[in-house]
Amino acid sequence: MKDVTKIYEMGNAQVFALDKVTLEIEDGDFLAVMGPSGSGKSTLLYTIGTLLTPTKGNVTIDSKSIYKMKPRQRAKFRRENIGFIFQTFELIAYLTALENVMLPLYLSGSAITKHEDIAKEALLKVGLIHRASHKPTELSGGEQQRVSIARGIVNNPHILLADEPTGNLDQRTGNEIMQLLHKLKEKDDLTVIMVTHDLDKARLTNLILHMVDGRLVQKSNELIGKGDENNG
Amino acid sequence: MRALTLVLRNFSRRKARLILSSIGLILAVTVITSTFTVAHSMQIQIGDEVEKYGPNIIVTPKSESISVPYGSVVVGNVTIPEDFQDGIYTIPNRANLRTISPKIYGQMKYRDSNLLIVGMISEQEAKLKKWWNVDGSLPQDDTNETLLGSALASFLRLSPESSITINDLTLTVVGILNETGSVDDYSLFLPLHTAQRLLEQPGVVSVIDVGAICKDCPVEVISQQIMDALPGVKATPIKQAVETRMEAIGQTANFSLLLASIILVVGCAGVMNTMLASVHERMKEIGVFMSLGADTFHLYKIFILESLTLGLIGGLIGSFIGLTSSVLAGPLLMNVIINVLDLPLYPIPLSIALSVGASLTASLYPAWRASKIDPVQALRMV
Repeated sequence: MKDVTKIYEMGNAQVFALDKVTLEIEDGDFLAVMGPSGSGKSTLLYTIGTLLTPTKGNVTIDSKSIYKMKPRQRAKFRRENIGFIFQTFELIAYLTALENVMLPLYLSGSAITKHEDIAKEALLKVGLIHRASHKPTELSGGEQQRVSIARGIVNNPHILLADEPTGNLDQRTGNEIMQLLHKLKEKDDLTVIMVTHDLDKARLTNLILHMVDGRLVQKSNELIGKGDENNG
Repeated sequence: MRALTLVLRNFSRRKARLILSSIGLILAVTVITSTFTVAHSMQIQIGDEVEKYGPNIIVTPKSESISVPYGSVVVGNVTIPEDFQDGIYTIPNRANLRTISPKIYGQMKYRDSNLLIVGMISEQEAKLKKWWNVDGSLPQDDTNETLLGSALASFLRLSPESSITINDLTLTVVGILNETGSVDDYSLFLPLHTAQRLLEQPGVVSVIDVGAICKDCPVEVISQQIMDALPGVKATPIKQAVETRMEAIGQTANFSLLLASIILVVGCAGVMNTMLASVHERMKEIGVFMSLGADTFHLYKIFILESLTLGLIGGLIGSFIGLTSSVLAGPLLMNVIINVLDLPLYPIPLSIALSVGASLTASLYPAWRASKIDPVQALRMV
């Protein structure tokens, strides 16, 4: 992304959620975005996720300028290339775990007959196949987040965007989720971008971005390898 | 996974709301279905009654001369050949003909009184006048038997098996017609050929009454066909009363449909209100859908499918209630007996289509609102 600015109008005042952010992320990176509340971490995530049109600047993914696309093209690009994980999981309450994972497959318009098998494979990857028929309310927080991850990867995206994925989980479950993300990143060659407040979790990634007032103030890769050690 | 699965799963957890939002549609469809059902049954009933009323076409000679009144029909001196009745069976709409009853009228002096003589074919006349109630029997064809109207029998102090002689012809009374409140009460009925002999008018009749099998059949067309087939006769359709009653039913049905339209509009508003509330409640869910790659087409599809399902449920339940209530309440409130097997099927798909159409229309604005939701704002909602 190059010189990306996102301005919110609040009455007469202008709030710079992103302020001339320029950033290049390589394929297969696992990076954490840190910073205080209101620093623009989530705005950055959703802008990369093709959900939030910047006021200025350009975002390019795989040589495609995504905000020059028409909305329907952008939605198609999103469902084919990007997966989302949220802090509060955001599973659809009236669907089972399996149906939640099948949701992106329905949206992609792929052959209906294969949906169940593909979704089960994704649940197998996150170790939750035995809970496929359960509704979200019947699952623990960690299990819900695993379903959410399965839903995020079921369409084989290149990029997985995680908005504080361990924020609602206890330490041990949070660590398990981080290990799962690492495993999936390695296995599926994913690029993972994770917003977090938790330095311990951020240390498990290979690059940390620090944001303050919508600006990228520090890139740190001094922790590369520590995550592997912790996982190891 | 299909869009319908999403819709049905969503409905399954909001059953009460589903029913509440369908109530307007259910009511409208109930009114429409019951209106069609009752109106149709009333038309059938009137058709049946019309058949019982007697002739619905009267064939008389074309004549300006008037001398003999018989009931509401005025008969001239001019007669028509008896075999004209065969010609009536040659008309294109002959399949609609139920009964043809030729009659001859005349007056004969008996003591100090004038008797009204009616020659008829008993079997045919009785078919037309189903309200006739006879003590005894009807006169057999080509006999000297007679049937007396109640007032005439009382006046002449005659009873079954007594006899009366007119112009040297002795007639045996075989039956007394119970009071009808018509000119029949003062008439002396004879077999057609016996009356022709007595009146010295062999081979001719004064009038031919035609009963057509009609629910809402084209009596004018049949009348015209008779006049075309038999020159020199006038065929008069009796339909004014029927038309007036049919028109009254039509007006009642139209009023009910107007009422149903108003309920349908209110129902639409209810569906729109529920769906707008649903869009607001499910804002975060819509944000999630968008983050997973849903575009406006997907959102429209889901909301329109929801409204179609609502419309279908409203239509089906409304049709069922409408039909059931008509069958149960029709005889009590409208004095109409409704036979479900006699009813046309088209009001049911028509009502369902109307309900679905109305629901669909009501969902367009909520679906548009859903497609305009900012996904990031929706995802940030607590």
